[in-house]
Amino acid sequence: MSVEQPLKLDLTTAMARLLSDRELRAQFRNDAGQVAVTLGIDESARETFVGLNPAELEEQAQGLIEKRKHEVARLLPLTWKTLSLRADPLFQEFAESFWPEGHRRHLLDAVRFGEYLGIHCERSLNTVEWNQRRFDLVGRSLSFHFVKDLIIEDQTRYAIQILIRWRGRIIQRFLF
Amino acid sequence: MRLVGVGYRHALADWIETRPAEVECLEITAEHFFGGGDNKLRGLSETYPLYVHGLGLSLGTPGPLDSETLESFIRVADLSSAAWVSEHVAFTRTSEVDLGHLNPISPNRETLAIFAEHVQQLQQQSGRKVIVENITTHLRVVGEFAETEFLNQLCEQTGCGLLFDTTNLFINSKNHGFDASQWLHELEPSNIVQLHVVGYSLRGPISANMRWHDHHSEPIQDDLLELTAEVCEYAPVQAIILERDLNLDDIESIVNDLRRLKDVCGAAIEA
Repeated sequence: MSVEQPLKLDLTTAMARLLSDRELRAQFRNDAGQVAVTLGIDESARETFVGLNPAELEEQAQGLIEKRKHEVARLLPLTWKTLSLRADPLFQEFAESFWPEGHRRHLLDAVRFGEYLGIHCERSLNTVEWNQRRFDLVGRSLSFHFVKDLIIEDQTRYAIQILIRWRGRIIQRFLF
Repeated sequence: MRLVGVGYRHALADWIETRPAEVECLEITAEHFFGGGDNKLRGLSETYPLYVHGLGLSLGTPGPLDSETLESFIRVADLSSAAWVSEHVAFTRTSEVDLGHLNPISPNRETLAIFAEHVQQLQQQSGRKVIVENITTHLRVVGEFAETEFLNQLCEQTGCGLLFDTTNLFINSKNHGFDASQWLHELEPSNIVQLHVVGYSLRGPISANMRWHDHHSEPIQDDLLELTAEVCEYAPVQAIILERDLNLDDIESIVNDLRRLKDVCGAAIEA
C-alpha cells in the first residue's frame, strides 16, 4: 500500500497566495521559512520563496489593488466623488476579499463594489451609474429602474431609468 | 522598414479614422475585442499593419493555458490579420486566484520549460510568431538565470522574439538600481522585434525613496527617449508602439511623441 504524499505547492501559486492575502504577507514578514513549510512549498522553490523581499511583496500587492481601484473609480465616478476620502479604505477592504476573474474583471469589480457599499449601508453609491455598469455586464436587452439619485444641474431627482441595448450600443432614457 | 504607431484605444478611434500621417501601424489589445468589434478589426486591418497584444494569457502559470482565453485571443489575431502576436513574461493568475495584472516569474529551468511550452502552443495554434514582453515589477524574483539570459534562452528554444518595453526597463533600472544599457546589451539583438514606449510617472518627493511607475499617461521624457534611440541602434526593431492609456484626449502630445519616435528611431535605422 502506498502512502499518498501531499501535493507540493509551486512557486507561482505560492506567490499568488502571498500577493492576494494580507494576513499571509504579515506571517511571511515575521517568519518566511515557517510560511514555506506551512504552505508546503516545493523543495526546489523554497530558497527563492524565502528570499522574496517583504517590502517589495507589499508594494507589488498594493500595486495590484491600485490598478483595480483606478479602473473602478473610472467606472463609478459619481460614487467615487461622493465617497471622497472614504473611497480608498473602503475599496481596499473590499478588494482584499474579492478578486474578479476574466476579461471583464473591471466591470465586475465595479458592480461588486457597488453591492459591497449597499451591504455596508453606504449611501454614497450612485445607483444611476451602477445600474449602467450592471446592465453592461449582464448583457440584457432592456431594463427599468426607479432611481432617486439622478443628478441634473447639481439637483438630485427621482426618475425611471430605462436602459436599452440596440445593435451593440447602450441607450439610456429617463422618465420623470 | 521600421514603423511607428500607437496602441489602439477606443478613445482614439475618431482620431485614427482621420488617418493621421504619424500613425503607420497599430497594436490591438486582444481583450478589448473579446466581446465584439469584429467589423472594426477587419476595417483597421485593411488600413494598417496590426499587431495583437495580450494581457491575460498568463503564459507563466504552471498547467495548461486557459482554453477560452486562448480561443478568443486567436480569434482577434485572425480578424486582425496580425503580423505577430505578443504577451508578457509574467503570470496574472493561478488555478486559485486571478490577480488581474502582471507579476514576475522566477527565471529558472522549471519556469523556462513551462513558459517555452506555452509560447510554442500559442505559436502553433495562432500560426503566428510570438513575441514576449519584459514587464515592470516592484517585486524581484531571483532564479538560476539572469532575466536577460532567461529571455535569450526562451527565444533560442522556441523561436519567439522580444517585445522590448523600453519604459519598463527604464523604470525597473531606476527602482532596483541597475544599468539599463548593460541589461539591453546582454540581450541577443536579433530577437528584438517590437518596442513599447510611453512616458514614465514619478511618485513621491524627490528623494532616495522616489518610485518610478508605468501609468501609461505621460509624454516621453528625454532620458527615456535616449534609451529608446539606443535600443533602435542596437537591434533590428521593426515596429515601435506608443503605449498610452491615459490622457488620450491630448492628441497634440501623442502626435508629438510619435514624431519624436520617428525622428530618433527612423534616424537610427539609416545610420
